[in-house]
Amino acid sequence: MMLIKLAWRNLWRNKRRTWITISSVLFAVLLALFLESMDRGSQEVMVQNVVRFSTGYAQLQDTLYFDEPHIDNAMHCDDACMEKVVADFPNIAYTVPRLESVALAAGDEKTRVAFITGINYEVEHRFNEIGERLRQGDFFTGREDEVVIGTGLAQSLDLGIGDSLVVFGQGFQGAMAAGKFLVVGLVQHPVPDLNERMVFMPLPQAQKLFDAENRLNHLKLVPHQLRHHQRVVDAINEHPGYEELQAYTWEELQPELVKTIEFDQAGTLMFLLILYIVIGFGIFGTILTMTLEREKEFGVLISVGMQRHKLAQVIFTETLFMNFMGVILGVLTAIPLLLYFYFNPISLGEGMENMMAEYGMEAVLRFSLDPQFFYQQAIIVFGISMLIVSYPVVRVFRLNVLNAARK
Amino acid sequence: MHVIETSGLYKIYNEDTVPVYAVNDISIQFDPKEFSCIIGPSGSGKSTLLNLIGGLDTPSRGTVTVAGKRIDTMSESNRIRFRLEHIGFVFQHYNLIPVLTAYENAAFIMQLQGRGEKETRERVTGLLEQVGLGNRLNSRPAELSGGEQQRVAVVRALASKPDFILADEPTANLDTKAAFNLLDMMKQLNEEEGITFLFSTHDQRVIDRAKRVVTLVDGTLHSDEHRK
Ligand SMILES: Nc1ncnc2c1ncn2[C@@H]1O[C@H](COP(=O)(O)OP(=O)(O)O)[C@@H](O)[C@H]1O
Ligand SMILES: [Mg+2]
Repeated sequence: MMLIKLAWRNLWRNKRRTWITISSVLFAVLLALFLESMDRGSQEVMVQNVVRFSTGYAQLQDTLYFDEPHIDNAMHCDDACMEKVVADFPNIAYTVPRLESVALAAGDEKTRVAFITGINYEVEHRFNEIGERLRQGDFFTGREDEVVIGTGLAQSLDLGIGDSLVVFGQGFQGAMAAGKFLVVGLVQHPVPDLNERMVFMPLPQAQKLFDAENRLNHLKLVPHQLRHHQRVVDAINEHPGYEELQAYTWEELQPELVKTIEFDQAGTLMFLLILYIVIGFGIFGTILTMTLEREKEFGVLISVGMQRHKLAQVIFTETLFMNFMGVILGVLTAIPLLLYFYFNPISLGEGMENMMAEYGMEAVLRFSLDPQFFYQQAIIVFGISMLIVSYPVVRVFRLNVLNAARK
Repeated sequence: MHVIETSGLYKIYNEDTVPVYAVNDISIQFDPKEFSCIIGPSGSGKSTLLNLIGGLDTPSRGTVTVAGKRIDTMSESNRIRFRLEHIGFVFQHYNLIPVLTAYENAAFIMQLQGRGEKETRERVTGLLEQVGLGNRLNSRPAELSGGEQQRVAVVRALASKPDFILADEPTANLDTKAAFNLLDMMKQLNEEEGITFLFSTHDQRVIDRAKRVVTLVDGTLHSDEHRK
């Protein structure tokens, strides 16, 4: 108690110096929180967009499909099978089936390579809200020969609602896949590449086209809690009766995305590291002068009977006080700021939109409010304090009482 | 029993090159309730002897026994604890903690000893009133005169109820009036409460009031005079 009082008083011997140090910690914490929040926010959005419109968080495939992603390796899974998956694994909320293959798609005059994708619209929309991206027409009308195509594809094939699209390709095990379909809707797929090629049709219709009755390329597994996807995958892979199938996480299916995120995080980490080092030296300087200018006093305190380790405690407490005031003030400043940006993402303007869209991202900087950041800061600053304070503490233990008291 | 006893005490600097015998074979005893001073020219070894007796320094040879305990062989941490419980220090430059008030400076040492709050408050306030600083309890050292600061320093040394108080040239930085006041106060504490004082000085005003005057020359004991 008395030591804490002493530390607190010492802190305010030189108010200006202490405030400068506190401000530098505040600034570092604020900047770190801001950067991390922005970084993590954009990653969350990137994962959401990319994962939702491509692999899903977890998916089930035929064991052969991973190495040879061809329709010939499509898994056999009828309605009963899909229901069984949900029944067997309580962690799974619902599943999203897909049958897809590459085929030629032709309008009146032009032909393009397209991704013919059979979906169950209800669960597909539930999963990624693809319906929100419908620009014209309907997501299926109940006909037996209908397609919804990407706006990009529609443009390049010069097609609109009510026009015909001819598909020609290869079906299951070499069967010929050909058909003529009516365009009933235009959808703007968020991934520009796919927008140029996407042809959606109801799943049964696709299965018929590709002569792949009750077959799926994959079944997306949607966990009740998205972050539990690894558990779901592990559960399925260990579950008897699923030997012919293999479940994967999105990280396994999209290693490039994982790399991108890691690279991004490493960059931020490097920057923060430099920031912490700079700030660390600032605090170090303050603590060092605070220690050096008081060596005589330390000599006196040890002379009259204060143990060195108690003195070290005082210096340590001073450092902690100063740094934690910086952290707390930094966090207090950051919270309203981050809350604001969380609800009002920064727009990057028109120019960025296309570039960002390439990566499946919106042209806004989103922020994350993961509470982890806040206590991370506390831990980091505590660690820095420990490092910094070690030098003055060593000095206190080495201090020659007579020399110090004589000054 | 002697409260302080040194035997064959040496402090030699630069023993390997050009040896300086700062303390040269001193065997001396001090008894409780003494009011003694060590005098001698500058460089005669007064501070060195006091530092050895106070356990701030370790001898090159010989022994120092304080309150029946050999302090020259103690570990540093034990010596610090011993100082806290048995020895009061008054320094030439007052050496109060600038961020603590007069009261806190004196109370600090009792808190280090782990004394209770009530006991500390009563003793420290009582002592500060006794030395005429009852109205300066909450002043910081910078707000006090040199004489007042040195009284606080004496109270700090007294507060821990030490076996004796060591004071190295306590009046060196005081003007005549303040020096006399401090001396009177110390003498009063000695006569009325039996506090043992051992101080060094080359100030004639101080020497005149001492009951025992030990003279050092070049680190050796030159004379030891008891007065009535
Ligand atoms: N750390 C030291 N190193 C070398 N010589 C010292 C040291 N401390 C004191 N001395 C020498 O010891 C002698 C006694 O010094 P000191 O005890 O301070 O004398 P006084 O207090 O009587 O003036 C002096 O010659 C001084 O130069
Ligand atoms: Mg001296």
